Amino acid sequence: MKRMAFWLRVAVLFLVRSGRVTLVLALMIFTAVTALVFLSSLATGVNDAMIRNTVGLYTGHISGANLPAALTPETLQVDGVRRVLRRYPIPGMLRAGSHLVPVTLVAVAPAAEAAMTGLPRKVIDGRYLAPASDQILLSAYLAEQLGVTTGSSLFFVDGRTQSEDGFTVSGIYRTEVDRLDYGVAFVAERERDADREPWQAAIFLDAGASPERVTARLEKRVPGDAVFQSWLDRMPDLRQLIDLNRVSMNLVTLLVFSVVAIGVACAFVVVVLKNLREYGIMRSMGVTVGDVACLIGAEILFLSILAALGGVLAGGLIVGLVAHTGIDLTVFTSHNRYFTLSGIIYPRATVYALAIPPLMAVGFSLLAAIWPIALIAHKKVADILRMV
Amino acid sequence: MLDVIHITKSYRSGRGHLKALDQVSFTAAPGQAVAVAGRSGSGKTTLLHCIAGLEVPDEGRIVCHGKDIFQLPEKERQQWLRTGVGIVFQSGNLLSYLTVSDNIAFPLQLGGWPRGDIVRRVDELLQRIALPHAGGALPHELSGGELQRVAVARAMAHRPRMVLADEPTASLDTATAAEVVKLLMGVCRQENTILLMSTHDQAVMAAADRTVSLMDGRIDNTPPGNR
Repeated sequence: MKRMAFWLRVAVLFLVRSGRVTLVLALMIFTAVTALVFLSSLATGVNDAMIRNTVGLYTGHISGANLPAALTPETLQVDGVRRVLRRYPIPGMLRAGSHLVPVTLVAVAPAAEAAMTGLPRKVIDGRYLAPASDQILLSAYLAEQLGVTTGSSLFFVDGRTQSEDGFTVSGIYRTEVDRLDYGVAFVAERERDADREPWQAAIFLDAGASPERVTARLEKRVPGDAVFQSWLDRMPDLRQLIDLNRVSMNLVTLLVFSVVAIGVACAFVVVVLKNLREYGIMRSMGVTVGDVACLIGAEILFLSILAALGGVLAGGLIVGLVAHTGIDLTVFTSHNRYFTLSGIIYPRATVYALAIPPLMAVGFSLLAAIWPIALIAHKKVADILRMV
Repeated sequence: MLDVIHITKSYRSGRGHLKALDQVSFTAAPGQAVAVAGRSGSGKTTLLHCIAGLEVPDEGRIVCHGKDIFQLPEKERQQWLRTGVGIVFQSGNLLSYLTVSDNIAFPLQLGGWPRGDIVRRVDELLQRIALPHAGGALPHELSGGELQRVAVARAMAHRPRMVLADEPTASLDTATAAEVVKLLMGVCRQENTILLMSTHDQAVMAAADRTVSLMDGRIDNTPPGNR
């Protein structure tokens, strides 16, 4: 223990008194960690944006289907649920003049929908539905098929009852999401809809709530035919994209630190060669190869820990600075269905983003110690003393 | 007592098989200063390295105070280096990032001396080398002579049985060289330590109790006047 403390002290003195070498090496690790903390946080922000855009447009984090009329949205308000939107799907046909188009008409609560979903922001002509009105919101595709514009009148024929209701087109939207752009139209719910069943639910979660856990809670609370599906099951393509993003980020981290480790190793080899005589003198005083390994390892460990901590602080600070304002990447996302609402990315520093870069920096730096240690171990003391 | 018995050491080099030492034998008593003299390439440094245990001879034995150095297991040989031997080099002796005090204390730390004893011994040696206020200085702040005096202090710090000085005055002017040799011999005599100095400096040879001359790896018994 006493011996270890001695070597640690020598290592610290070496770093402190080898100012420029220490600074250059520290700067290399510091920069890499700072960049990777920020990039990891940005990658998390991109994933968040894709999820936020996708679930926030219409579906919510969890979709509920086959829900009985007796079940109220309040019943679904389990731990982790922020809000439940009730929707009544009615299959039928839309008729405008001689045009007839099959459609699923969805009766919604306009105020709640406007508060929670992004669909009202996708209206390209007219406006979103007014509460308890006879208005209908159509996609651009349906409007074209029916030959209607904002303000036109049309009729809906209920597929079950064959009853016919008249509506006025309040607005036309376009989302770039096939499921919403084709075959769906929206109307404001009315009192009579409360008896309709089954109804559907769009369930929005609190920040950080796990969709899987909340889905399990809902399934427990509503037994029977009700089906709950989180976005993870509903959108395997998005899930894959997010996983791909994470894997890519890990690969980048691995590559960056491999390069940094080679840099640190090369720099330390140069330092060792420069101070080769000193190592030879140390060994002539009975310092073992193990002691030298301990010394070089401690030097690199201290250096990398300090630089990595500095990098985490700097990276965290940068993330903190742009976390609220966000980075507007709309120009790169405007035609992407995972960014239908907004292309603004809000970097988010997770424990992973803050922990992995410094841990890898320290780990790879220690690996970098092998080369200079091997160099010293390989040489005979007498040869070192003779050659320098 | 140091017994160097029939030491032979060869190297393979680009120029073929080179015999650096050939059946070298001599003895040295505690408190005695022996100059190992000879031209460049005569085998002085190799002999000192073999005596220190840094190089293993092909043949022969080194026995110091009853210990056959090359019969010792590796761990004990390291221990012998740590406690039994002090080495002074020609130049670049000190660890550049440690202060003078830390450099002198280095072998004591390696030997596991108690902190209080280390402080006392370092102070004592700083007085002895006439650098009582230089403890906090870094090597680059000292002159060549001062560096060698600190190197002597470090070599003597752990009270070794034997001090090996490889051309300790080669990089010094005459006056400073004399000062360093005087210090080295004085400390070794006082602490009853065997002192071996490789040199081609006549003044060092004259100051030593006796001289072992090497010529092409062999002991040269020719009287100095006839060489």
